[in-house]
Amino acid sequence: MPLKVISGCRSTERVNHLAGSGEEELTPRVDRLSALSDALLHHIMLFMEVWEVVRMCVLSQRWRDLWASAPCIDVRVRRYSDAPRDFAKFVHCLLLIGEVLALVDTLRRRSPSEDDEDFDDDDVKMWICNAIKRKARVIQLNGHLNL
Amino acid sequence: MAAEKGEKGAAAKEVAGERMVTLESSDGEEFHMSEAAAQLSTLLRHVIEGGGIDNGIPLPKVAARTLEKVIMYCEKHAKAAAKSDSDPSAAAGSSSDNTAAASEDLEKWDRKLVNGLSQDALFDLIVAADYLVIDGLLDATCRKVADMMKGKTPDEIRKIFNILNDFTKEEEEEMRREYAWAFDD
Repeated sequence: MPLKVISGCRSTERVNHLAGSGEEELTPRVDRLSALSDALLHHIMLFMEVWEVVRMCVLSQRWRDLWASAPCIDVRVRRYSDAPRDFAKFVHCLLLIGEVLALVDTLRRRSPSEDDEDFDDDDVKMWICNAIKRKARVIQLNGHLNL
Repeated sequence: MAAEKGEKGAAAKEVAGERMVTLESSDGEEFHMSEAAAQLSTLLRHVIEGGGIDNGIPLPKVAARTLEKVIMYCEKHAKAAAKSDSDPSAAAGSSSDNTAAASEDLEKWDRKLVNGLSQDALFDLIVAADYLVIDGLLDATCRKVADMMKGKTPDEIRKIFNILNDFTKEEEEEMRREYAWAFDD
């Protein structure tokens, strides 16, 4: 998915999107999403794929570093997902990037399946070491990392 | 029906054999809620257990329109829990199909609840669920917001939620380089 660079919404174009019905009204609206606390935004991120969460860094200054303080990084990949093509590289960068500073509570790792050609035990050990250094709170690594 | 949980505050009245609590919204409207339903809110549970709520529980952070939805959610989930508690086949462990179906129905009900909300009402409900500490409702509402963002470009997300892009051109270039690994560039 290409990284799009655009300007913000002009106030005359702001629309009130109803959550489910798809109706629109031309009403000046505030950004209530960004106004939520970090904790609530992290809670919303729990229901998103990790790459979707990281990509939100470009939304605005408010979102720039938010993903990095998310207490849970879930690197599981489901078959129907639109994960980055080079997912191995994505995970490497995710776990090595300097801004990841949340606390370690839990570290879980499933044993790799036969499909795990992209990762080996050394890779995972390195991730775990870095995760601990970075004090990530939860890292759950599942075996399905081949796309 | 709701199991008795011992002595509670004097204000818990009874309606048709069920203990009720009175809540007052930020805009002064009074609502009644079964105590069983109120138990789904950790905050309300503590207030009720603490006693001394003769004139009802004021909720200055929750407007009437939102409180109505909160009560709907809690009553629905309290009834569902009571039903599965009193279901003899569930006790015998023989009806996992029934409990799975009931659980699925409840999830559908939750989705219908959040899907019917305007964005404003959805955010009001998130804030209320957080304040009242109602885990299931917080999950359902947050999941809805996550669904609204899934599969959308940053531009689309900004439009939906009116997010102002306050990066300078240079900052955007920097972000693009720094986070190239997260996008399929």
